[in-house]
Amino acid sequence: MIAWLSNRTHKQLLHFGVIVLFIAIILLKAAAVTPVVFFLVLLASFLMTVRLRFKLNPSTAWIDVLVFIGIGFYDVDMIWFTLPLVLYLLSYGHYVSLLSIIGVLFHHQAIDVVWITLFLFAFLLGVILYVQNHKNAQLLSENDSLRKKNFDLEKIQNQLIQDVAETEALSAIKERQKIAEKLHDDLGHELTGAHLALKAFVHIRNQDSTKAETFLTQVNARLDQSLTRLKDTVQNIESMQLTGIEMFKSKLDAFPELPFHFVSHGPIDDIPTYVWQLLYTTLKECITNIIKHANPSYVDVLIEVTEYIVRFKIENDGAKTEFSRTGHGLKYMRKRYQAMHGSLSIQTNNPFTLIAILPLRRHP
Amino acid sequence: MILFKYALKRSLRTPSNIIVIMILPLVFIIMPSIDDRLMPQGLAMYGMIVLFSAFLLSKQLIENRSNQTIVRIASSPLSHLKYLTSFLLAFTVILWIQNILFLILMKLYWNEAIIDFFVLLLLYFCYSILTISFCLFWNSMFKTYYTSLALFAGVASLMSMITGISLPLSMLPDTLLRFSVFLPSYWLAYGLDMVYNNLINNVLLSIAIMSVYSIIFIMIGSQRRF
Repeated sequence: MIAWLSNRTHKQLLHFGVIVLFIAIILLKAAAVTPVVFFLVLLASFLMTVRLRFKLNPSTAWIDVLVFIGIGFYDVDMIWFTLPLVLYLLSYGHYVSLLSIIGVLFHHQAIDVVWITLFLFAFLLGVILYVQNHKNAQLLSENDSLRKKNFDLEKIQNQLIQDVAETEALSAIKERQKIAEKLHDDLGHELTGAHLALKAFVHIRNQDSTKAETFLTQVNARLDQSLTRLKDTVQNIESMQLTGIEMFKSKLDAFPELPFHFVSHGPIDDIPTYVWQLLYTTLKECITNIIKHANPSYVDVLIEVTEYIVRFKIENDGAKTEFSRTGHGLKYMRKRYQAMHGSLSIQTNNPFTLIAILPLRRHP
Repeated sequence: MILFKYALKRSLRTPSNIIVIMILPLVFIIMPSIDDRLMPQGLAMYGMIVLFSAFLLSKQLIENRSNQTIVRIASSPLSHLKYLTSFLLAFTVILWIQNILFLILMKLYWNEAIIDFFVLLLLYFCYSILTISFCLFWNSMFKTYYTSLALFAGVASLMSMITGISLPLSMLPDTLLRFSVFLPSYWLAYGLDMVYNNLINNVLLSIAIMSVYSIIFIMIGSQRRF
């Protein structure tokens, strides 16, 4: 009963209280009512129903009170029907109107045990409902603000994930520019010198053999220099870190205790770095999960590249524990895929399978 | 209009509905007066048929909820108000036709005993709306039709018994009548009594009470539930 009551909303409990009071009053106090009095009581109940159904200002309860005072002239016992209004006004914390109603009630009624009991019921339930309503409103507002914060954070997260791809494209352009500058400044200069010297050599080789010899030496020296510069440039440009498939394979090799079987299909070199980065993170998450929750006899890893998509699949058996849907790792991973217009799906029964699909952006 | 027609067709498609709505009232036509009044008891007992007919018709509303039709309707460009008014109007039309046919047959059978044909018709019209709104309210409290039906069968029979529908009001004890007035069906029996006592103001009062009851029930029952 308590559990049932605690699961009800403020409005439901208010309905419940009002109905209980009405029934109690009918059973305890209903004298032989005349049809006119009953009509008036019904009219007042109608006003109460409107109030319970639609959100009206609780002060409008005064209309009901006036109706009941009017009924009181016909039948003084009908004033009892004002008690639900006590409950209603208390539950919304309208103390001023409430005190006036209580004044009217005590003025009309002879105080007896039944009257005190019903009044206390209405009063206590009203106070409880008011406290509950107040607390609920507080929790609701806290909840709303947290939701808003969460929503903002998610928006930022998605934005950041989308920015990764754009940043990569920008870095590629910048890198190209750097290479072009280096080729132009260092290599270009030496090659132009060598080219001019070679031209001069061709021009004078039959006229002045000593001078021609000097030019040839210069060509040789400049080409040597160019070769050295080219080696330096390539060395400077080449990353010291592993990237792409190497990075991926190195991760698989780092866990010799897991029986990995890696297969790839299609033009794997076409996968851009930001996709590799995401696949790598997914692989790391999967390896962590496998170590934590499974004792597999095989772990199949597959990467398929087609003209438009990259498909990554990891499958393993021997799950030791039930898959928990409450974990955050794969949840955030899925969000990252969605932000890049891809998808991540999981099949939890044995064998456990994770399939990720990402679209490839082809530049025309 | 589409929903109205649909509700109308669906209501008349079920054989059990046809039997209860169109055939069962015939039994009450020949029911004579139980006490020494002029009023044939069939007039009051017909109230029970209207109550059960309304319940059978309103079955559609609870079915719409349990088989999720209401969700599909809610996702279409039809408002909840339109949905509810179309259905309730269809039920009302069916019951009003039943009222008219029943009263015509009563008039043909009893002739002199049926006084104030149009006042009686007005009374039944209001009562029909009341029963439909009551069933709407009743069904809004339950999730499945069978729970609703099981409890309704008991409550409606009891209600008919103590509010002057099954038995004349004059045969009911005063203590019981004190509480019966709070039940909506009492006001049909009261209205019929007043028609035969020639107290037209009281008939109008019973009609007013039934109307307020109907509005209260519609107001509570019309809350959107999925």
